[in-house]
Amino acid sequence: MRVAFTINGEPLEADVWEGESLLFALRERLGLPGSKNACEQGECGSCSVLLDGRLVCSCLVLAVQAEGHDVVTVEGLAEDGRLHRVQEAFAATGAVQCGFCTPGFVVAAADLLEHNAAPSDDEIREALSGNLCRCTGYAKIFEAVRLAAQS
Amino acid sequence: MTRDFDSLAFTPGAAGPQIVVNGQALIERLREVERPFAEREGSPLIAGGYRPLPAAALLANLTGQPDRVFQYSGKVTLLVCNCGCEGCWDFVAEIEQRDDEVVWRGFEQIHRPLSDPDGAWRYDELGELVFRRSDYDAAVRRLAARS
Repeated sequence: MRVAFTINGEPLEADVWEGESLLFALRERLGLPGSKNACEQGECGSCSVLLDGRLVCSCLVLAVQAEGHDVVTVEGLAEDGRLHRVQEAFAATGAVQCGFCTPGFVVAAADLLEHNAAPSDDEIREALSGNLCRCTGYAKIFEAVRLAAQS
Repeated sequence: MTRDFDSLAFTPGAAGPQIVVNGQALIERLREVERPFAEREGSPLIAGGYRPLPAAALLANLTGQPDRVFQYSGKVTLLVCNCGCEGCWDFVAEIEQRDDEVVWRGFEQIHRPLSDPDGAWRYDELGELVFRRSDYDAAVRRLAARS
């Protein structure tokens, strides 16, 4: 079936199977592989996107549920050729090891700062609690979020 | 003496154009070639774990204008990691452009390099792929027209 939605500000359509996840549609139908496919059960957060401004695991959202809605992926965070401040902070602090979890953390951190400009460490911890880093690079990730909040 | 050339085509796909050599998707061919190496490592599912390059990047690589960031000893990327990140798990090759033919050789997985005597994944089965220049250019033009 054909689904129409807005992805990163652009109206797009995709032919999807009824049971297909938004994650699959983004990666395999729309050429947006930034959202990563890891656990596929909402445990790791590597597929995090914003759906109408709310942070969701795109592996747990059916593509058809996104019909008519607004989706922002990690590819859509940069504006006018400039990285989002969270992306810049991740690069500046070296908050990346293997990098697989990074897009999800970046989207989650951007969402946090959108709603809370000066989060405490506990608030950062809570906001990122749905994202797993198997390299256990959390210290640098926290440092990046603190830096982004200050910038 | 006439020689048999290999055939090259690019089939459209949302993730990027599939490279098809002699009627078989290169990713599928690599799944066969890499399987013994991947099984040896205890991870058979990583055999053929590739994704097409975005069309613009592939075109640049095929026409001798590769992205400088992702060059490996004169080789260019043909396929990327199935996570979608360039530079993560690239499959690369040397591309020689001659007047009448184009040759792909020196196939290599960047994290299982040929320079590693114990851990290299080898692609001897692929040999050299030799494409007739006119056919190669036509395939690349069709790819460019669709991109």
